[in-house]
Amino acid sequence: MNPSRRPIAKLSPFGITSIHSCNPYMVWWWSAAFPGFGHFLLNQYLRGTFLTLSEVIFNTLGHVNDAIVYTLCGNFAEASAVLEPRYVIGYIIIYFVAMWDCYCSAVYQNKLYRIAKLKDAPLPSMKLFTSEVQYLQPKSPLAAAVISLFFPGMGQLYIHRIGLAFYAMFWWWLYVVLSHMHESLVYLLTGRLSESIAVLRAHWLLFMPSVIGGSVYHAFIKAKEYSLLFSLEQRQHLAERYRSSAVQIFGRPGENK
Amino acid sequence: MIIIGTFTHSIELEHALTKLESIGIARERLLVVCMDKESNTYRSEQQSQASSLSTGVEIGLACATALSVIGTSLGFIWTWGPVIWGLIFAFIGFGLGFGINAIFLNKHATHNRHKAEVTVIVQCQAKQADEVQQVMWASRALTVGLTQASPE
Repeated sequence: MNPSRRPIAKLSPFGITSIHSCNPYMVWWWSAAFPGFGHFLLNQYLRGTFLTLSEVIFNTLGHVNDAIVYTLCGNFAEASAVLEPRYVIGYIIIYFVAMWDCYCSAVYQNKLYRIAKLKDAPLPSMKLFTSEVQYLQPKSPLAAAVISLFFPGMGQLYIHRIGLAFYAMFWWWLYVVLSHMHESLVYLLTGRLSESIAVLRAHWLLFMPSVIGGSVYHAFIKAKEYSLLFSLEQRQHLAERYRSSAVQIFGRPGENK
Repeated sequence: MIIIGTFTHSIELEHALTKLESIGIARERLLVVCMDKESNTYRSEQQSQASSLSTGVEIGLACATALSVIGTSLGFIWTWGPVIWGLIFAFIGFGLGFGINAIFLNKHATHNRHKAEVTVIVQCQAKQADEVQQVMWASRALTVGLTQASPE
């Protein structure tokens, strides 16, 4: 049989890639929080990865995060001075086009999902690779969210999306080290408040809320999606295997026990 | 003898069915019904609501992009700086684009807390009944029921 023209899911060594109905506003919002995150939610992992790289590089070169901090602190003169006009215009264009692009893709993927669901193309249940095993499994959205909250990337590991998991873990380590966040936490827990603030680096710290939020939302929503996929695949299997059931609960009319 | 068990979608359910077949219940003596938690007609109404909002957002985002670039540039000479002006112009742009199109519709979500997703009905000899029930309970069945009201 030909591979389905409108497939819903595929297993690869990197995890499950699938089409799902999603809320386009949430996809749009996560792209606003961190360009590329919206694309991750849509399973467009390659472009999501490049967009996040672009975000970090040009945010750093343009000092965008520093300007946000100065602005929110009311230091408007400093904010204008620190921004690099060379990079800022391009940064803003990419930022908004990324949001617009993933919003439109989300709307379109919803339409694809509706068609694919009606066509009921066969879903994969498990696959063996030379150096990986991947399978559909019901996953707890809560567990996925909580472990990503502690260390972004770990939730992705839990839901078997291993490419993104290690990419996120690598970057979280960089953010933690460059922002001195864990040192600051230790100072805070030992009661040295002023040192805990002084040690922080604003530029790298400002990436972290979005990364945590995005990672938690991704792990949560994907755990839900993968659990749904598991149910759908099992339904296909059960309908196929037990379609010729001869169970008769009430017997034929006129027939006696 | 009819035995009915309810399950959630799980690997244990598949284990139960495989086990039942292996202890000698013919596949034709098993009836597996997948239960829906919500009506299909209700879902399709929600989807049409979502798509009516989407045009407004697409136009809103396009306007926000354009105005935000202008606002950020002007911010270099205005007092509040590029970030705030960029944000303000983005919101104004979005509001303009979205306001032309948007119709806000309330969603009324109903939650169904019933857990049973699959019902398994087994028709078997009276002597197999105990074993069938045991397999079901061992495989995390939610509920198991037994009745004799069937021709066997």
